[in-house]
Amino acid sequence: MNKSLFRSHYAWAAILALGVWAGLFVAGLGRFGIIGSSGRTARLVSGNLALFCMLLAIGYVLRKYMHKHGYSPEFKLKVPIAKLERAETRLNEIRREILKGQHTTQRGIEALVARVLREEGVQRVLRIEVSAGPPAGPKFDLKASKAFPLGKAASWLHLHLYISIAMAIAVFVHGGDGFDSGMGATLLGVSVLVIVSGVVGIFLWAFGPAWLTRRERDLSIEESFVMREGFSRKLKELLEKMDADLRAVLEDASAKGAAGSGGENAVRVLLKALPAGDAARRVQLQDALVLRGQLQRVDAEFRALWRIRLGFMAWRAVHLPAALFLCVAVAAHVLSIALY
Amino acid sequence: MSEEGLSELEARESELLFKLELFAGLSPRLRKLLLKFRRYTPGLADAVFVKQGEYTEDFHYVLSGSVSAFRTDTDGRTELHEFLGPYSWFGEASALSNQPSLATFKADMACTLLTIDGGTFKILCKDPSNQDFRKRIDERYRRQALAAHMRTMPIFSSLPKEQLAAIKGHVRFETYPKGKLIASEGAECDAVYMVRSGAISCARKLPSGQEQILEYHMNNSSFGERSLAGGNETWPGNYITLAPTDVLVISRAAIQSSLGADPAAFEALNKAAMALAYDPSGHSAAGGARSAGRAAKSEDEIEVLVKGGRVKGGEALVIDLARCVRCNMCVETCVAVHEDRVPRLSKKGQRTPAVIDLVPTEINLATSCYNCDIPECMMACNFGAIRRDSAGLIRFVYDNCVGCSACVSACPYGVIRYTPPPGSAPIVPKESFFESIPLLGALFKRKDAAAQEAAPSADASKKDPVLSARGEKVQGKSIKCDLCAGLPFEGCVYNCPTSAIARRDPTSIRYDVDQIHVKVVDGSIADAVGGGSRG
Repeated sequence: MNKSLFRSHYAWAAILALGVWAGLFVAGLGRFGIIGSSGRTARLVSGNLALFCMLLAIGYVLRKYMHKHGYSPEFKLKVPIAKLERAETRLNEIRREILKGQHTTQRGIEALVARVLREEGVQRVLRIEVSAGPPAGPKFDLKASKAFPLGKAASWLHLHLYISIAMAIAVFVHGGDGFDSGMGATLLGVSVLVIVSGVVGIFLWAFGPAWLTRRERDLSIEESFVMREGFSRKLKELLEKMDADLRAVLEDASAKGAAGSGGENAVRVLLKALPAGDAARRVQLQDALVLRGQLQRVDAEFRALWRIRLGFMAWRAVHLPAALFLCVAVAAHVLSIALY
Repeated sequence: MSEEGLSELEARESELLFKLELFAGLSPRLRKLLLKFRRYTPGLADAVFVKQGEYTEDFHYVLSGSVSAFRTDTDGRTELHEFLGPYSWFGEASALSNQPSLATFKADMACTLLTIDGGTFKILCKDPSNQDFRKRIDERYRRQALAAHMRTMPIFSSLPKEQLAAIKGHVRFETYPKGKLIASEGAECDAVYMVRSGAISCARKLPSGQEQILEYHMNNSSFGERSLAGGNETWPGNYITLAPTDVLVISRAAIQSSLGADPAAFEALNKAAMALAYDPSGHSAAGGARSAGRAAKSEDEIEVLVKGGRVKGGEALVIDLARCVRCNMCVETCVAVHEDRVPRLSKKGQRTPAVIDLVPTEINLATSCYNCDIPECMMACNFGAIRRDSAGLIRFVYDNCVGCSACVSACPYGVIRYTPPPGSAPIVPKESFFESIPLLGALFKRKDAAAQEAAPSADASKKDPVLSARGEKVQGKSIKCDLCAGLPFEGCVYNCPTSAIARRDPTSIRYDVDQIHVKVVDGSIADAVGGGSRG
């Protein structure tokens, strides 16, 4: 189980939102859409808050797809390797100077390191941590790592998860009693769908990988997929080389086999019927049978694994279209308010 | 300048260059090679050519002016190590073995150096028709650099200069082919060895008949100090070369005869040898001494990992299978960050039960470059296309790569893959935003893109062959994880939504050693890694 999905500092945002709402209830002011019925300003504030949370949640999706397609601004930070090496060589020089005892304060070393990174133009790519060295070694240690300027996708996912829960609360505070109008009912209904499917998704992502890993025996899902594709291609190539009558028998046998009506017998009969001198066709047929057998086994394995994967990924079939629809509906809602 | 003038200059250069004693004996083929790949490095007074500890593979020959070599010892003291006037040279050890420079080389006055890259220098040294060149290089090395080199061996680090000079005369230079047994387990230990280039493994036989790796030696590390420890010491394992290897051999008898007049010095050496051979805190079980800066690790699981072929150095790319939702984002990001759109990451790897952050789980050690301490790929490359950068990472120099695939075969982890030469492979079109939407993306898939993806480019075979910087026909390209060189992130780690994939020091993972050992006793580490607790 992946417990890390439930441990995030962004959860405080959701807890805070929940706390505010609970406070309103305790104060006797609470019901769905309370703020919605208490004035234009309150309605706008709660609406904007919900919109802000929603935009933050969308940020994860944008970041993910921008990276996947190479449009992320971080790609523009790329520096030539020669620059990195020059910086690393100068850092080695500083390490040697530390060893000689020429630098005694951490702040001084940090300033020196920052200057080297700045002069070489790699300050946005490299991060250098200055820490106390080992007992028998130099006084300070310089540890280089990547800068990760916009934060890891995992942090963005946590933001997405918990800010969406905060958003859900803001949405219901904003217009929880709005089921009487078409737009209100649509927005609230789709919001419920998005949030519920998302929460289900968190739990499925937390448990699903362990289910799949337990089921993967000889082959992982990726390996079984690759092998299935490989066997399919080979079998197709072999079938293309075969005579039409041999192919027809084999395909007929496959169809019968799939229907459970003993297609193998037809192949056996054909194998026996082939003249002894016709070695080439015999080998072709035997190869095709072997390949088909392997393909069937790998395919069965892949399908079994795929079903599990589908089990913990299928929530996205609801979540993603619903989220896309929600974005469009919210845009229409915001525009209509701005225009009318 | 006119072509005529240029060729006249080249002829003059060739005439002057091959009058130099070191290059005079080169065959016409090697002369041609040298003229093609030599370059001139000018430097004003105080210019630094190479810094101590810097990974370089260039050999430098001083044509005019003078260069001084300074060396900083581990105690922080810097001393003038050597003065190099015209017609002397430096950098031969780095050019041969890509090891970091032993000293800092600085111009005393305006000077000009002839610089030869490591790939060319290796060819000059190893060509059978050019024994004289190698002999001169070795002779000068013995005369000028050997004492400093020996000083890096812990056993000789505190020996007075005069005694070191006396021992220096008895040092033998040996070159062994790959797979050569240098010393046998249980035989009398009678010499100290220092690895100049290449690599050596030390392995012992367990009572079960299995082999256990005790130590790897390379880059100035030494072994056999126990031969000086006094008693009838024996070799703890079989020492076998992993690649063509150059070593320095100093026999016990030679040291005894050199220090014969000074019994106190020999006794001090005995004590130092005892400490090195039997102090488990600082040195290996095999009694070998590592070069400075490399920590010894002797935990049980290290043996299991090394034996399982899972770690040799550096950091491993670990996928926590209890977190991995198989979204393939890691591979897709890997495609996005490489211009050729060929992923370097392969999720195929060894699986094993482990404990990460106190949570028992199952991990997959993905086949990503470990930046090995002993990079066998680098040793296998004859074209200078693999080097180690100043941060210690293994990098490909694609201008030199001819696609011979020697590195692919040499890599013990199957990390390096082979792709068609640049320009001949079909370019896989980028997915549009709509195509990449999970589940619904298939509805937007363009038919022409799918067809292009499936069929190789028809024009590929008609194109002119791609040539390397050396002019050889490029048959393909070797690729491996480059840690997203130049970018501020490592794509797969950065973009994993569940933090399932991470770079980890293999020693920080607590492997379920009991389970693995059970399988080892059964005789199959492969089962242990492949099976684990599954099924």
